Amino acid sequence: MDLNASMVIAASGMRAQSSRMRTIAENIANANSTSPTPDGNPYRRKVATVTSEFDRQLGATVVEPGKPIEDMSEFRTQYDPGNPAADKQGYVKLPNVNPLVEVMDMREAQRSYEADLNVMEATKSMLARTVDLLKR
Amino acid sequence: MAIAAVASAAYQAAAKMSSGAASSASSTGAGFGDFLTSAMKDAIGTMKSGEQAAAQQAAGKGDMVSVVNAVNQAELTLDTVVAVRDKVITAYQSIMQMPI
Repeated sequence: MDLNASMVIAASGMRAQSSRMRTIAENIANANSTSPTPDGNPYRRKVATVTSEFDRQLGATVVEPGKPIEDMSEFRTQYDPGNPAADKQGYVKLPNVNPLVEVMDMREAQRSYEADLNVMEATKSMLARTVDLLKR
Repeated sequence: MAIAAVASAAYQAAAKMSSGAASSASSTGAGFGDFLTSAMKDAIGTMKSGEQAAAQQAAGKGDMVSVVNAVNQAELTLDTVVAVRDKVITAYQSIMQMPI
């Protein structure tokens, strides 16, 4: 049934946005994680991916959370000779996480999730009102 | 023209179906009871899957979205079955109260 399928599709979207949110949480939480050793790399930012996939059983295209890919941009550096992660010149490599970008990503994930919730709510009320028609 | 042809074909199909259903019902005895049984089985099945999802969520496995989906599905199926049952019972009662 089409309305049931739309519920399942919205649920897959919600699942995808949850996994995206997890990646964003990782990025925000690790925004200041440095390497414990002087020559190591700090936390590298991850980018959440979502892919569309055709569900044969359902007969519809659903969303699948993809594997997070690593952001290969440059690390930030900061002069801090006392830090155990500092190199010979006294510079510390910091993660390539920009909290502003992460917050924007988070908002986007939140709004997408809310949109999926609204689809579910509308679908449910359509189904419920159709069943109501049977009752009287 | 085309619409009229389609409509007449659909009408004939419906008439055939209803007469066929009536004859099969009278000959095999498969009727409302069987329908209710299968509908209830279906409803109970969806309820069970909802319960399973909820139990998995409580155990730390499975996600919230699946629970919501399964429970929603179960609720809707039960609602439909109950509505159909009420409808048919009302029809039955109005037939039983018919003055002869």
